[in-house]
Amino acid sequence: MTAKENFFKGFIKENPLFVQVLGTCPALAITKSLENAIGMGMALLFVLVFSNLLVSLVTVNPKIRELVMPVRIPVFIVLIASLVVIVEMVMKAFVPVLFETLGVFIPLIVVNCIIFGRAEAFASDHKPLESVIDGAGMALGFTLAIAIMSLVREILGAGTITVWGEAALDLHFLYDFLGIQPIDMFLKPVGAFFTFGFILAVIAAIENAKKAKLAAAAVKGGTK
Amino acid sequence: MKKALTSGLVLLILGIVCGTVLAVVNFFTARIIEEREIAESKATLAEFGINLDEYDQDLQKKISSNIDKAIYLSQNGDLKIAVYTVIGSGYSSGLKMMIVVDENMEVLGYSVLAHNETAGIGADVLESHDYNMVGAILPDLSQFDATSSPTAPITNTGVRNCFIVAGTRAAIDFGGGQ
Repeated sequence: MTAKENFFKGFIKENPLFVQVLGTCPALAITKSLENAIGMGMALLFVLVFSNLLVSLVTVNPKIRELVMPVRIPVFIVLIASLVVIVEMVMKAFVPVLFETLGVFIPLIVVNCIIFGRAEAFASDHKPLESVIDGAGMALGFTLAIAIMSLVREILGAGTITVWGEAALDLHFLYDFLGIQPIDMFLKPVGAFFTFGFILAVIAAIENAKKAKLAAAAVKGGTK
Repeated sequence: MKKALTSGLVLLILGIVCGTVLAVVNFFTARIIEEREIAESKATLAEFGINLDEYDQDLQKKISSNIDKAIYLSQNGDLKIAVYTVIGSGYSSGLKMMIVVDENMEVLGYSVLAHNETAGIGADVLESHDYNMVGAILPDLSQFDATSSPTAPITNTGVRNCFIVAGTRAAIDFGGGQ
């Protein structure tokens, strides 16, 4: 696998949220605005890139690997937890509003399946640079996924797009033009499940259509 | 046995390294966090007509499960004003209020700092009352009672509970208790 393929696989082909269905708790909980999604994505990017790097560093040398592998689960947890605490402290110091908004989901990054999954399945068996690229790709893929979810929810639920702080795009003129109101349900938990389910259904439909096309092509090829 | 010791040693070294890194990060961020918190408190208290610079300040955190922090303002060693950041449970958890009490046990001001009440229900109740009161005498707690609002009784009970917690603590602090 080339570095480019390694990086981009997390965006669509192996997207952590929409394809692997990992990290769904924060995805459902914090996607009320694009700002939240970007903040969560950046926090995850930092933790995933550095956790992959550190896990790779402690497992790449055969002698250290021999020491670490019997206790790899607690080792990975300690590394990931330390990175999450760093993110927590930095966010609390520099972006307190976002820190309050994301709330418990920042410390919960410690038990995020994506991070532990990549540490166990990829970083512990690959070189540091490959692991960093994998981590960055997966984190950005996750960020893209939650950004899509939050865009759908915020536009339909609040009629705005909040990029960062005061930088928000008000789309109420569109609602006024159509003579309708934003649907508040999309900002509530039920709206999160609805949006997530709908996106998964669309992806499944595309996948099924692709498979059907391939199957049809195979049958056609077989009959010739 | 040797394997177990080695594993323990690996975890110990890792713990020490991670702990050291966290301590370094904390050294840089803790000061910024505290400065910001004091600036926020100053700004809020300025609205209540209190200038923090006129007092000796003593910030205490996590006094109890319901009091997130308290700023004690003294002059010549006498406690004059206590500023409590109290956490109560409304319909959702995380109702946070700042309640300022003076040495005469009067509420100088109170403000809802944060809440997670449901938009359109509990949040409306909080916004319909003037919860950023300045110069208020201890409000009649019954106005926060369950019967005062049929739409969000639990929100109001949460506010009332915040006052009860602050009032109890003020009685202890100004009464000389520990």
